[in-house]
Amino acid sequence: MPAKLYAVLLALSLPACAAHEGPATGDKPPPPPEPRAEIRASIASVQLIQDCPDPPGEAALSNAPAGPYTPPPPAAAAAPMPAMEERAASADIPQPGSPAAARMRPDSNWSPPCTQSTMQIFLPNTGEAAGQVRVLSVRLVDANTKRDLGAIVPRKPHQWQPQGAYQPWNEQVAAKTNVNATYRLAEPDWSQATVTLGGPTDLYSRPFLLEVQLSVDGVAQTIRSPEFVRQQVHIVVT
Amino acid sequence: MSRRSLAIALAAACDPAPAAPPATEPVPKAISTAPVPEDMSPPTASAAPLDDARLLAQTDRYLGDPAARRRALERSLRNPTNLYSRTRLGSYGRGELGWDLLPAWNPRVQPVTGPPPTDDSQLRGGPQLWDGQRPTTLAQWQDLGRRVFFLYPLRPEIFAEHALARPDVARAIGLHVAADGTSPGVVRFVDIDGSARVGITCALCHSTLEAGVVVPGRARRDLDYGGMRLAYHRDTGAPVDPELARRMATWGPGRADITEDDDEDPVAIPDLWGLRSHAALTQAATLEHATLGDDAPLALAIRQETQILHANGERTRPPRELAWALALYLYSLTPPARPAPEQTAAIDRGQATFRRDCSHCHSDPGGGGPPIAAADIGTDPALAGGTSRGTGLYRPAPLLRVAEAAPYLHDGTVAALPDLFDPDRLRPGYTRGARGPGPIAGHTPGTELSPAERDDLIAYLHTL
Repeated sequence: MPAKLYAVLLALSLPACAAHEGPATGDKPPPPPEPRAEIRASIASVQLIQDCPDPPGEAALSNAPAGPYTPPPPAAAAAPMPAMEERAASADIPQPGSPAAARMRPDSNWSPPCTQSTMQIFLPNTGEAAGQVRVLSVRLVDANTKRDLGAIVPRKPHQWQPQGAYQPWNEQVAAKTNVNATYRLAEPDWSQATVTLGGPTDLYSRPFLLEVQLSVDGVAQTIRSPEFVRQQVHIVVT
Repeated sequence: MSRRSLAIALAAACDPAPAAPPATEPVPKAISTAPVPEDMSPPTASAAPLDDARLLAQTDRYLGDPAARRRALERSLRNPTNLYSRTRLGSYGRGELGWDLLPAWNPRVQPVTGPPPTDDSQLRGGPQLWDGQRPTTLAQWQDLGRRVFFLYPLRPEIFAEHALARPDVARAIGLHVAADGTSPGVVRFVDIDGSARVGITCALCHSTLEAGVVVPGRARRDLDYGGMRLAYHRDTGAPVDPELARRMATWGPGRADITEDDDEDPVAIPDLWGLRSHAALTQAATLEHATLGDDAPLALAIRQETQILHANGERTRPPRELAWALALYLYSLTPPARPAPEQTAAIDRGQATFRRDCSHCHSDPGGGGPPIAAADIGTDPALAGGTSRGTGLYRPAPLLRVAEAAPYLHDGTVAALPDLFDPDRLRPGYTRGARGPGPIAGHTPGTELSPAERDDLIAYLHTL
């Protein structure tokens, strides 16, 4: 090889060597990428029924289990059962019109019946680091027309524990773990939804969707639920 | 087919619940107008009830093959546009979306024996319903299924808890105490929020006590679910919507509105005997069943799995082993033994009348048959035409122990068998309806018979 060609090759290779060595850092390899959470959320289920008062004394965020339930004692007085045809018109049957809790008889140890609306989200983390989840918004969507019917406020995140209970959750998903989460849902504005749907309609006989925007470590993702139907409070669906 | 062989064949046919009302036009897959074999044998070979070995052979398909479950669901839903179907098609067997992602819940549970104890430690420290060991024999599956039937909580039920605390209320609304001190269908359990609650199970509606002995599968026709709820509101002062109170009062014993929608369509609680031969599940024939062949038990198990998870608020699902066990247990249910009825000339004549006038619809080994267009049967159309589970159809009622199954028709409006065949039932001024005065339309076969023919037919029906 002629000496002139050697000189050219040497000149070309020097910048490459310099780039490989980096700016004044000696022989260290580049740092590995930061461990990150890899979470793709999915909605498992939604039930829209009622919004109930949260249990008194419930921890906002803690790993402590919910407080033990105290069964009510038997009622003292025993009134006879009215005949079937008399029941509906019976003055003994309280009517709605004020908050249920305020209308329970003072001597009653029972709570007003209430079935809380919830949504369940599955959060598998395949990444090497824990991820911080935040629910940014929950929107009610008409499944037939895809119209946005308004916001629903979520609260009280809980996660499923292997011993068989949902417990308060700080919305963190550890690395290489799955979380089954549940959030309580407030009532949507049904009157506004009715207007958006074009007027009076049977809100128990049409399917809805939830569109949930959440963030994982500040990165937003939007997920949609399967179809669901608003639930009546008075029935046992079988 | 002889009366005796029919009775034996019938030892295989009833189904869980019924359903409701319309926003979209129901799209029935099939309407039965086919003539019926004289011997009431199944209309097609594929409708032959599965034997035990074939049932058991489907276990791995249900437990381990998501595609098989999804296919069985899709095949079973007769009207994919009603709410029952849409919900399941949207959420079941979707893999990365929907109910498959819910955690499986194996609760700690105990039968209720008397008033609630003040100390929950025994319950909290007690065993879970299932020990986690997958059964291997049919008998083991059925034993586990019996536990699910009696113990798996469908949901917490404050109304039942209240009734248990008031023995007069409990008696009045049909919460009974068995010889062992338990109240079948009511349990104490640790709920998924960690609290100890009273809940209801399948056995609340589908078991009875006869001479102190529990009879699983028999509809609890004295269970007044609406009355139980009204008693709670009356005693505690908890407010209730007056329209809802009116509706619950009209249900009466043995009936309840169990559909998703706002329609008034309460149904009579059905017996759960002889399920294997049922062509359809639910009184509105929401699900195809026996005609699905090997997919039939998957369809039943999916119905139970989705019923339990839905009733429990869709926050958990039952372990699939428990749903499968429940299905296999339901298939095993038969009525209590009784002496063989004495053959008489009246019964023979009644059987001939049945073959001539009834077996067109009541054609299968269980006395049921392929669903009939609701317009053809002419009974109250609310359930069959409803948006919730409507198909435009009703299933012919299975006839196993039909004489003990009053009141009749899907909505329990006819008080007794003689009334079912009484032509006066169809006319204004009729006063013997189970739900008050007024004509009761539909199911006219039998009403043209002479009084003597009716008596013979009823004598025959008492043998089934």
